Amino acid sequence: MIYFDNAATTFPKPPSVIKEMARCMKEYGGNPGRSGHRLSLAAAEAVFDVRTAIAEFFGIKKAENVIFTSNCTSALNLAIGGIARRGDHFLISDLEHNSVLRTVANLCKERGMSFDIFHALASDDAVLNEIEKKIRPNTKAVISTHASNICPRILPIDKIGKLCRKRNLLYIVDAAQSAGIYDISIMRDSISILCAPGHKGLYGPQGSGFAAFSDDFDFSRLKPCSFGGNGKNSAQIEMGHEPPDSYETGTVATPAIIGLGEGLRFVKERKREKIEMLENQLFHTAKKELSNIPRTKIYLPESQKGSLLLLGFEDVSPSKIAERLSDHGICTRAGLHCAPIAHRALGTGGDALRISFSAMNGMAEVETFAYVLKTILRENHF
Amino acid sequence: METRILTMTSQTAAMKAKRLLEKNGIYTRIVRPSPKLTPKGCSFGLQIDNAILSVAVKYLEQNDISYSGII
Repeated sequence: MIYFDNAATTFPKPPSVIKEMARCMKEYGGNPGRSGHRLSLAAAEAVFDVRTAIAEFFGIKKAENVIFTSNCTSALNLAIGGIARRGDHFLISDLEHNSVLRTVANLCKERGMSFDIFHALASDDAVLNEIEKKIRPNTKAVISTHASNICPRILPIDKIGKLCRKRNLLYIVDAAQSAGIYDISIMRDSISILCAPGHKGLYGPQGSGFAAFSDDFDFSRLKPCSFGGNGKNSAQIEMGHEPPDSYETGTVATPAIIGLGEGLRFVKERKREKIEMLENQLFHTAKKELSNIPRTKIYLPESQKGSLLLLGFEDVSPSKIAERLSDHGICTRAGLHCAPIAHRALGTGGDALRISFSAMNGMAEVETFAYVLKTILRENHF
Repeated sequence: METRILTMTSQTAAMKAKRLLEKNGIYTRIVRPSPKLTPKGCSFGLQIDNAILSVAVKYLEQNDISYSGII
C-alpha cells in the first residue's frame, strides 16, 4: 500500500507512539487532575511532561499555556469562540479550512460580528498590504492557516504576526498542516494562539490536539467554551480563566496526549528540518513526474512553498481517479478537502485530487504512484 | 517532621512547582487537601517540610509560580 493522504492524518504512526499509549493504558491510566493516588498522579505527571515538551518545541516558556483539545478544529473553536465578542471584526484568508470559516461565520451570525477575507495566493508583500488595508478600528484578530491544506503555499506567519503586534491585534494561526514540519516559534513569530492537531505532522493519534498561547497572553480575554468538571475549585460555579484547567473540561484524553508526546519525540529524533527536506524532495519529484502525464493539471499558487500537490484531470472526475487509485492500493483524497473557499481561489471547479507526504514516504512510492496514475488515465476505464 | 501544604491554583501549577523545587533540592509531594480546608473546593497542594517552607516559597515567587495559600 502507498499512503499519500498524510494531510488528513499521518499513517503509519511510529511504533513508539503505539507502544507508549499501550503502556499508559496498562500501567498508569489513572484520571489526571482528579485524584491524589499514585495512578492519577503518574498520569498527571506524564500529561504535564507532554505539555512542557510542546511549549518548548513551539517557543513558549509557560507549559500551562498549552491547552489540550481533541483536534485542531476544537482548538480553533476555543481560540476564536473564546475571544469573540459582539461587534468584533475578524480577518481570515481565502485559504482557510472550514474549521476557521464555519467557526467565524457562525459566530458572526450568532454574536453580531463581521469578517473579511484576504487573498493568500499572491506574493507575501501583497498579502501583507491587503491585510493592512482591511484592518478596521474594531478588528479583533487575524486568523490564518500557516500551510494550505490543498496547495503548496506557506503564509508568512512571522510577518503577519509582526503586523498584528504593531496594530495591537490578536493573531491566531491554524497549523493543521505545518506543526511538526515547518519552523514555528510562537514568541518569535508574534503568534497569539497556535492551534494544531496531534495526529498529522506531530505523528500522534487521532483525538489529540492543542491550542498554545503566547507567554504574554491575557487569559481574562478568553472565555471558556465548554463547561463542567476539571477537578479544581469544585465549589464554585464559574470556570475561571486559568490555563489550562479552566479550558480543559471533563477528563482529558490521556492515552492520546501520551501518544502525541511520543509523536513529538519522534519528530525531534528524526529532526524537523530533515522531515521538511524529505517532504520537499518528494514534492519536487512528484511535480516533475506528474507534469509529464497527459490530461493532468497541477494547481499551483503564484508563490509556491510547501509539499502538497493538488491535481485535476481532463474529462475525468478526480474522485473517480481517487477510487481507481484506491483499487491499486494507493490512498489519496479527492473532493473539496473541507476548504471550499480555497478551491474557489485556486479555480479547481470544486473537485481535485490531493497527494500529501510524511516522514514515512520514500521516492520509490512517488515513482510507483506516477506510473499507476499514467496507466489508469491511459486505460481510461471510468 | 512537621509538614505544611502549599495549595496551588491548578494541578499544572503544582507539577511545575514540584519540578522547580526538585531541581533546587527540595522534595515535595503532590496531595489533594480536603475541600473543607480550601475556600473554593477541590484543589491540589504540595506537602512540604515546614522547616524549608519559606525557602520553597521564595523559589516559587522568583519563578512566577503562584500558590493560593498555606495550610
